[in-house]
Amino acid sequence: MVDNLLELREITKLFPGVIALDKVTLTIRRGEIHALVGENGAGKTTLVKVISGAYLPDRGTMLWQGKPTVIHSPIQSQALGIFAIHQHRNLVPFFSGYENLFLGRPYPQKVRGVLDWRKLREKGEQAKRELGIEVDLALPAQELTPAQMTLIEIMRALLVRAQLIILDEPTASLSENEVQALFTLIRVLREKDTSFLYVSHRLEEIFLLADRVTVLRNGRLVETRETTQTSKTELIALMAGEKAGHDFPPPPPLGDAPVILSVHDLATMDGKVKGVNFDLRRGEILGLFGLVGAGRTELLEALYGIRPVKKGSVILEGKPVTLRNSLQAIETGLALVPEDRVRSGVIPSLSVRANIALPILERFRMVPWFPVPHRGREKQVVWDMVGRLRIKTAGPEQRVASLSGGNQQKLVLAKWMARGAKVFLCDEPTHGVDVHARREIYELLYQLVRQGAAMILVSSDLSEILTVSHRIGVMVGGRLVKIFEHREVLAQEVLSLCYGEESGCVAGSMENS
Amino acid sequence: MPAQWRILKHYGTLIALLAILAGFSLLSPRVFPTPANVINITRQISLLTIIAIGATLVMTVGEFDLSIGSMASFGGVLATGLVVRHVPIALSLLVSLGIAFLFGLFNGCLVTRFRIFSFITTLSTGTILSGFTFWYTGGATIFGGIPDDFLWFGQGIIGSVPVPTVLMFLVVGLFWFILTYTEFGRRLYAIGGNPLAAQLSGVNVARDKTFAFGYTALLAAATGIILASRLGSAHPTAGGSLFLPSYAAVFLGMTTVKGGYPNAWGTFVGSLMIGVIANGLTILNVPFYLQDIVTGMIVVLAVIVQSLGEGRG
Repeated sequence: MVDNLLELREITKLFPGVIALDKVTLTIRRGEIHALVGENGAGKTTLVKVISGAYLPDRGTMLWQGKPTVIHSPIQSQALGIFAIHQHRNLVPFFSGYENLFLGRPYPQKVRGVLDWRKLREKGEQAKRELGIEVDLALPAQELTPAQMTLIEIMRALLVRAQLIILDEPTASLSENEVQALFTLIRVLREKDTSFLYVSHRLEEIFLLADRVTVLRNGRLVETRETTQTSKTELIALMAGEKAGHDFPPPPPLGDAPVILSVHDLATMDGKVKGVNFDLRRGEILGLFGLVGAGRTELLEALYGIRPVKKGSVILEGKPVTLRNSLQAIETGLALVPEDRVRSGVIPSLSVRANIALPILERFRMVPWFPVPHRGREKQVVWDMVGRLRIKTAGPEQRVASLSGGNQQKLVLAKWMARGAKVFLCDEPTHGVDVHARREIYELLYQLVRQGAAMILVSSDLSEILTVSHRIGVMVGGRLVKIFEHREVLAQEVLSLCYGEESGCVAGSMENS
Repeated sequence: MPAQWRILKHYGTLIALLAILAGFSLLSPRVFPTPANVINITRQISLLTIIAIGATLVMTVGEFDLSIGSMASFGGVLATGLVVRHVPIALSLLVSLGIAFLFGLFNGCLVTRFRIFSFITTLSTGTILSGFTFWYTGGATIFGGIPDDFLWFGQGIIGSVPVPTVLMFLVVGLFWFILTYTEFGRRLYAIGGNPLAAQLSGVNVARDKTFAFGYTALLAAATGIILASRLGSAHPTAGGSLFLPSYAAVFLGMTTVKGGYPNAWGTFVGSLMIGVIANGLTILNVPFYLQDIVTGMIVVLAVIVQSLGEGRG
């Protein structure tokens, strides 16, 4: 009997320009609940995807029940006995619970090719009884709560005799009672020697549930500890690490610049942003930190008019921002640099020129009343921008699809710089960008604020925020709970604010729903 | 991807067109490659090209308009119906094209405001429209009493060039210019490339898409009018046969450019290819059903070649 169910040895996973996992060595024992924690971007999801076969590691070995194994696909990992339950559950919305239980597996059949509905239901009910789960399996998945969907996923895992179940943020949208029910089930299964890899940023849960906990930071494994021999404070310290050695210079000094944007009591219809207040000064970079789901992206979207607003007012240079649609937001001088460049930042099929010129086409008219831009003038302006921002491209006619991630991001900034935007809403501007391009983007941000623009910088990289912002705002559960005025704030202070108020934020979301 | 594949991918449609031209010229040297037949072909493809330019517009913004066939029938029937009732020709055209434009805008509004798939929206509105067309004509063909001036659009000749041919080149040239050089055209391509990014960059996606639908309907109705004028009669289902080939022409046209986007001259090439095949096979006395089979296979082949090495090339 091998005690170690799964062993990872020096697993390394590289993405273009990023080391997502750096020699991670980890053991999961049989019948163990193993928690995995770390900041956003620490490598948790990548690790889960490597174990579940979605990614192939670039280096390192995996031992499954003592035998070296290479997992090429999720199907293979399921066949071995690994079952991953992702935050966004993979159920067919209009299938009943019974059908979803057998998804991707042979359905019970009467004759070859004809489904045996009675047997399907019997098997489902049997699994339900064994686990003591209360879910109406006759309902289609779309009518189930997130908690019920998780339960069905766990049942699926058991039907395929999974020995290792990976849970990625399973309690993200569960009520307190549902969380307790889930925990009871997990504990029952542990008694039957099922192992769990439990990914969560709710540290309380980890102390309630897990046997051991592993901390990841920047793709490296920091430490694995018995939960009985550590504390919440210690885990936070491990996740944050020493003040990261960012040698990038601080942002240009602010002086006594006037306020350019003031946001008063801003809240969205969907409750993702709840009564946010702040002022932004000309030339200022306000870093916004928070955990996934804290409402940072949603705040930017509300300001940009693409997320319905319930209440609140926003004033930009004395003029009210309508918060109704992106076109009016752009008119008032706002610019969004969205998180997902390829999906919403650039138009990959068009040229560098067409992308940068898109918001300012009217400026190149040959005659004011005839909407035909002058190619030569357009090219000149675009080429000037390309040079100033050092975008690496073969020429203004190169298609954006063939640019690197960093250069695409610079292009998005160039577009708004050419338009003369006053307030930049940057959402993870250095996400998936290599170290060199990252520095260039910081340079650009500084260049923009030096010219009098202001900036809200949302990032999940705390050391980035601590390095390049004037002030640091922390969002928890849709609220801007604190703005640190001083740049010398410690990473640990920010993190304990995020994790500390976590339980309060859960209660808050329950009140609202 | 090997170099010869890349050549095939980027110039495949043009090479195929040249091969087809050469083939027919060899098989029928005395009829096919004559000036008279060339003019004949341009007249035969003129209607298909004009309606296909309309389809090009909606496809540029990533949508479909399945109502263009019904719209062509409607436009032809309405304009003809008005002129036989002694309404001045200019006014008849203005009314028919105006209604078509508004109908297209209505399509666009449904698609953009209510976010219904254009496929479903235009399938429904097209069905409604064809119902109206039957109601207007009582199901009958309108003929007799059509003024000669009205017949000029389909049957007239300028010098030795048929009027429909002239109209076709005007439409292709105009919309090539609009799509390539105007702000409106540039925005349409941006929307087609990535509607979300276009919207976030300040493009009024809903408005521009709506106008694209408007022009598409306008061109479909114009096609129907020229068709009625050419035939000297208007039938409530006359435009239906143009619908599928028009999209085939757009798809063939997309294969003529790097990156595979809808474009006006490409659509012309696509339409020309379909027209040349039909013309050549007719000259060779090949049964009409074989023409459909060949045309369909060529479209599939062109799209397959285009998709080769997609994402890598």
